[in-house]
Amino acid sequence: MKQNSKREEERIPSLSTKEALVLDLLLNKPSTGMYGLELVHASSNRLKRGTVYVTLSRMEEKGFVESRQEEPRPDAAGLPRRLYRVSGYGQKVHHAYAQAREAWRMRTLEVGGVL
Amino acid sequence: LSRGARRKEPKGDWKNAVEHQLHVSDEFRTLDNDDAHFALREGEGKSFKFIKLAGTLRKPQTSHPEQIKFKFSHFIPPDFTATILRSILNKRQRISRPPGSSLSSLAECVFSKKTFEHVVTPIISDLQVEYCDALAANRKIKAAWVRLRGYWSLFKALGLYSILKMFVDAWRKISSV
Repeated sequence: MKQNSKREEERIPSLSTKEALVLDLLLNKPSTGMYGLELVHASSNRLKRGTVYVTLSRMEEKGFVESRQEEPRPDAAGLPRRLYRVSGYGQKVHHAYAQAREAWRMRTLEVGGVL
Repeated sequence: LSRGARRKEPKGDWKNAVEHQLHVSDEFRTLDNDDAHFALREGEGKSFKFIKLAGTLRKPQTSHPEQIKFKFSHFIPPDFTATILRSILNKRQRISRPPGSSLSSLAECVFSKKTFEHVVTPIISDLQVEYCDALAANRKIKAAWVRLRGYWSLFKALGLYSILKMFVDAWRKISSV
């Protein structure tokens, strides 16, 4: 068990472009969290309705986001929805991803300048 | 008159209305509200018999539809009657189940609890919220479109799209050979 947990800690977290976009959007509303449909609207259709929940579920498994069921309200229509927010680990991963992206951008600029 | 079998008294100045519409005898006018109410209740449906026995009411001078109107207007609120009649005549007032409720029950049996809670329920909840918003704005075509799109999202999310695609590709390969 200990070896497994050590391996988990040593493993470099992977973050796809969609997952990075989800983290970006969620970090704009860190206190309240967002619904899946809100994320789709906020992403200006870069995220799709059919796949956003699969992505969020995968991210929750990785520990990047946390979710909770919305409390049912008498005036609200339909089933109670699920609210997503970024976890502490997700914030760290997003910060590292942003730094890596920035470093990559600077590097490409340098190479472009030399050429 | 016995006071033992009294029922709930109707609200409002109903005794005056009775006196005005039914041309009651002087004896009826002398009765207090409780006794008058009891007398009327006993007379319902067998008014002529009651009149003979009790001798407090004379034969009503009003026509039959007016009698019915009188009875209903004093025991059922008119707004409520109108609502019931409207709902019977106008079939659009029916309340149906929200979209996706059958799919939700089916998916609950087929998929794991985690998949159901994290994928199926949020998609159906989004579908229902958007559908209700569209109906509230009286945009029926948009509501129908939202419904279709919601079902499609669910279909895609559950990976059925890829399975179907695999079958289609396999069929194309077989048919091209």
